[in-house]
Amino acid sequence: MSQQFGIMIMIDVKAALKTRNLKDHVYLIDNMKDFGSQNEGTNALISKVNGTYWADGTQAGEEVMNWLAIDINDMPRTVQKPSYYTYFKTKAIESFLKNHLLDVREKKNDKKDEKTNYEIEMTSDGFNTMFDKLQDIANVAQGGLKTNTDSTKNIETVWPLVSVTGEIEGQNTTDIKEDDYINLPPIVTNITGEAVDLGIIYPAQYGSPNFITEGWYWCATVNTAKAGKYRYTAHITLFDLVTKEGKISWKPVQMTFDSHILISRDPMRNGFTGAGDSYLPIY
Amino acid sequence: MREQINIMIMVDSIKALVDQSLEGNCFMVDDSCFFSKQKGTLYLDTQCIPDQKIHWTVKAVDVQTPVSIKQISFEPYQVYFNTTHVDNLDALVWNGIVPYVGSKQMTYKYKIVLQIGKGKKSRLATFTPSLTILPPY
Repeated sequence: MSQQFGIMIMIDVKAALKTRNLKDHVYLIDNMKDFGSQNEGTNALISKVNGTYWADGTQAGEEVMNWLAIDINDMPRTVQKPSYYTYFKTKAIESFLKNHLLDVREKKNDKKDEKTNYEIEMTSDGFNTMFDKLQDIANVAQGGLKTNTDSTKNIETVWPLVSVTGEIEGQNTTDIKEDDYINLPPIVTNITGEAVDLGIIYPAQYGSPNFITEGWYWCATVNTAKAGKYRYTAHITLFDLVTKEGKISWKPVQMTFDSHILISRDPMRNGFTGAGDSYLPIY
Repeated sequence: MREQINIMIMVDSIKALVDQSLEGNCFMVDDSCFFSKQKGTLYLDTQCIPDQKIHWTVKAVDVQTPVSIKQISFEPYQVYFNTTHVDNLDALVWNGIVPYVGSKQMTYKYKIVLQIGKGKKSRLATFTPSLTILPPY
């Protein structure tokens, strides 16, 4: 089936963070069960890839894998478009400049002699204020999580803390009940391992309308010229809640788990004859 | 060798499975230079001449859903190569050369069986498309 493969990585984020063990708290599901994938719903998933080749040995079909990580504890998230936030950001900056900077210039030109109270003075302090305000706009519009396998810095996000029932708990720590919060979603940060080293899969990040990861997700094309079972390592970043001085931030925790793909390959042959090409069976 | 004709079958897999029918969920087009009829429907009538190669391919409109050609057979739907036990349907190439059938224009209906996923209700067939073989020049 020349369809794309989806591999859902379901993670019990709280358990994984508490035990610092991702391997035993991950459940993998793919859409190739009927075509030979094994151990669906466990951490030992073997994804089947049915490859094909032409008589000269070249690869006949393209196979693409996609990984998506979700938190078991999470609420269903709607797919949001980052373009909206980019648009919002641009508009916010535009309107800020229009209302403050341009206004100031116009007022100055029109009323040279009059002493007016500008919202922001055109002095170095004024510019600093302006810079801070622009920075605020940039931060507010910054919805996605920027992270990679080397991230160690705690992340302060503009997203409020949300309880497991979906109620917003705010940005401070006073209202947090034990464990009654949703972690930031897990993020796939890399795909490495044997399958990548041997040139079996070629992972890369692709753009998508997934807002949570700033629109990026991990994907790989599969080289089906080499049949066999290959191991790959998925790198996942989880976010641990840190409360300090009444403020919340999220500590990125890098974890990995191993999974396998099983590649088989069949020679291409004619569907009418079962062998080489011939005349159509019309008599 | 005359120019190859490509017939592409596009399928809305999910709706076809829900409806248990290809009717309205399957769109067939070709690139024949002889003005085929009913393009974009299940009733595609491909115009061709002897010695041309015809190649059928199937694509799911939603790329993350499965679909393959299980069988193509011409009236009276006799099968020469049984694909029942072929597991990897991706490994089948559906092409053939149009034979000489005489000096008259002839139309042959054919049956297409598509496999969408696996299971009891995964195979859907249509008997509607046809091939019209024009007299050779």
